[in-house]
Amino acid sequence: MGGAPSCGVSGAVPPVIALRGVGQRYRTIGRAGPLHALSDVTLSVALGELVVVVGPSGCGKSTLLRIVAGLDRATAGTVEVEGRMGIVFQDPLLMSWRTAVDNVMLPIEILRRDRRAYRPRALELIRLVGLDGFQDRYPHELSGGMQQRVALARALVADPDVLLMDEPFAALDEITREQMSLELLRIWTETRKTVLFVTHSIAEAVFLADRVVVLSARPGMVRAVITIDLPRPRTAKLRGVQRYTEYCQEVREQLGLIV
Amino acid sequence: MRRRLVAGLVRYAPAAALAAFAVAAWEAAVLVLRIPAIIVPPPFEVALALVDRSVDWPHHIAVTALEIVAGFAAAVVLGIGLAVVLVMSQFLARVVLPWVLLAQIVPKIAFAPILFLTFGYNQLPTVIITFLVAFFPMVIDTAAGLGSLDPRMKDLLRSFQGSRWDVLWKAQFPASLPFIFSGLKVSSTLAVVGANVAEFVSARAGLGFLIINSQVTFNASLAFAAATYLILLGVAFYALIVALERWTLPWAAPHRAA
Amino acid sequence: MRTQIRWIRLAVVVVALAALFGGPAGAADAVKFKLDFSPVGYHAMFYSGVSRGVYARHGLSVDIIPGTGSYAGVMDVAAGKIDFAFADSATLALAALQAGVKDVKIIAMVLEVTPYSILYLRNHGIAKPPDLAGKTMANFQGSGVGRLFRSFARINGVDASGVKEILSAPPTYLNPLVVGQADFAPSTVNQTVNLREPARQAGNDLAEFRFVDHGMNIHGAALIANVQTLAQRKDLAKRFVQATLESVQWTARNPEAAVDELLKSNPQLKKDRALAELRSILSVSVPRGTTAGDPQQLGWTDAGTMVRTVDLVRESFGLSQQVDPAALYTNEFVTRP
Repeated sequence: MGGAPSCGVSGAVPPVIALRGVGQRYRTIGRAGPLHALSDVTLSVALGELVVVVGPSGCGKSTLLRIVAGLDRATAGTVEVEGRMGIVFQDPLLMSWRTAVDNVMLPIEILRRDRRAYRPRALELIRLVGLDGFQDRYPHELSGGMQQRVALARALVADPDVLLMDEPFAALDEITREQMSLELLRIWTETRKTVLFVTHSIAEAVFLADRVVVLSARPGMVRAVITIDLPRPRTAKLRGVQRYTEYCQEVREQLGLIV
Repeated sequence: MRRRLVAGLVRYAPAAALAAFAVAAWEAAVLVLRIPAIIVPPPFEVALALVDRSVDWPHHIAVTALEIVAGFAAAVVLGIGLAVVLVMSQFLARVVLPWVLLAQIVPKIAFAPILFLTFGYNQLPTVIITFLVAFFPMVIDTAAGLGSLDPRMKDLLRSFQGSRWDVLWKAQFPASLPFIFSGLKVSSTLAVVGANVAEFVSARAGLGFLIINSQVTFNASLAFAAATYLILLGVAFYALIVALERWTLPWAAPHRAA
Repeated sequence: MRTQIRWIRLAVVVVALAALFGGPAGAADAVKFKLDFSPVGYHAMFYSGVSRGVYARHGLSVDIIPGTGSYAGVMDVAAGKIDFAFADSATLALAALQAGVKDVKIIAMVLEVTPYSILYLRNHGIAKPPDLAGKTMANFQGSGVGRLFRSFARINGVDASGVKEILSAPPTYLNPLVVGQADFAPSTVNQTVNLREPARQAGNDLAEFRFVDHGMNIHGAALIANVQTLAQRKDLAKRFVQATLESVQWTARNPEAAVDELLKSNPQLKKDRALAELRSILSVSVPRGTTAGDPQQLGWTDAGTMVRTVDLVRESFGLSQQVDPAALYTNEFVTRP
């Protein structure tokens, strides 16, 4: 349980994601000095792990994910990722002119792979995320939660090794959020991907994670890495269990909410 | 099927009734106010002119329709093409946009004679003028459409190794289709006006030619009839585009305006 | 999709080639002839020449292009875009004086007497030209005949200083006259016949002061050509003049048949109107040799009349430039009457 920031899992198998001393600094116009979004973040994710990064708004956790994804470049430190990545953003970002299945097929088209070969996989993934029968619907015919599921299927279609998720359920209502958390765990269990998940919800972090990385407010620094030793598969009942609540409190402490 | 027919009739009945009332009012006005027929012809005479066999209506309508379609097609192809170029290159945008603006603002009727002088007394200058008139909205609307894409979509595509070309073709272009159709609707009506104005300057056939020719012989009912066919041409063209939009953009159904 | 694109590409190539190389190849010389206005009754003179094969007999294939005013016709000939045009002599003089046009000449005078006329409403208290003083004139921007009114006024004792103007666009600028909002308007004799009845229906009595009857005896419209054409294709010009004058003469002898020919290519015109317009023009400017004689005589440009034409244009437009009237025409293709 908690304490000093640690590198994470030590083992013989090399980590799938490895960040060492990652910093992100923005030069700002007209203000005194640069803006530090991230500072000296060291973190690794092992194969098949589900690691959740939690922190207050503006602590740089989204920036961290974008750096891992390769959308932004770190101004300090190194990033290593083994294998291909699939990303789910907070906004499902579906193309409104494409049906659900065509949206899922998008990465295959971009990567110029054989569409006919991957189409059954796309349909399978749609079934996996619980949208069987909705493959020919347009986004405007789907609810927010359903759209996000399509986005998840899209992230998985090219069979990535790593799944990056940037507050994917933040725009959904609480009930849908809890449902989606369960769904995600079910899918993760079946697909066994390595997942790096970012959230500002303490409850969500503890519920999902193998390990929770607590990020401080700007500049984002790793406050603590807490191993969540709760049994899997995790169910909604778990939220009533005392150890769950205790983990949540520990995270709150690290976030400085409990003084 | 019959239910649909009846439903259609019911929908358009008020508009038809209004049109019928307008025509009746027109006839009455001409009679009561004793307006000379060379200025405002009574609707009955216009109706006769519309079906007058001695005027080769199919020929004149076809001539003008061809000019409209050719000029419009050029405006669409070049307008969309230019918009893509402008969106891809800020440098080119800064250089080219002032000229596009100039082409729009210059009164075509002023330098139409120069075009006829340069390209000859045939339909080419007419098509060019039609093109110039219909060009600007296509460029602007397409550019707006291409730029309307959520910037995060670019991130998404980049996240699975999408190139700039992928972004343009798979995301920007489809996202811009509603805007392009908006442009098509405006350009189509402008193309009709443009072809007409060009024919006023010089033509041997066409609806604009008939309007001018009927004016010099003070045959107002012929002029009104030619104008009526021109309006019908414009409406048909517009309706075609609306139908095309409905077929192409099924996903925009809840957001469509007209 | 790919096969469709391939077919479209092929079709485009075929059409382009057809446009370039297609078209009937004939032994006849192709001639572009532009009219002064949109086709009306008196243009039967030319259209009948085409439909009756008169031009063809002289080895010419004439493409008649509707016009947009004599001035435009002069400019087109000057620019070399048109081979011949039918344009008003006074307008040619104006172009030479004002715009310095040097390369255009009259090669045959078709309307020896100008058809210009001042249309007026008798019921508005006008009986003779001086009555026009203080009245309202319907006119249009850039109107040549409207400007010539100044000379008309001087010659006929009209005090033009108080005359008010209503300006609108041709050809509907005459509408205010028909309904009585204007008292008079400068125009041509063929419009008088068109408007007499509509004016009557509006309760107005339309009459005219013909220029020729009121001291403004100037030339009317003529065939014009560029001096380059005359230098390089003299035979072509000669044949064109011959054929056209033949056709004019035939038209003068057979106006109704000529209008029938006109309607073949311009079916949108009304026969009775077209015939009335043609007759009015022919009554003002009777082509010589209508009953008998050499058609070439009717193309003669009179030196004195040209001098008068140039002078009146200079006076009306207030121009200080000079031009030699003799330079504006050539009688090499016609015979002295």
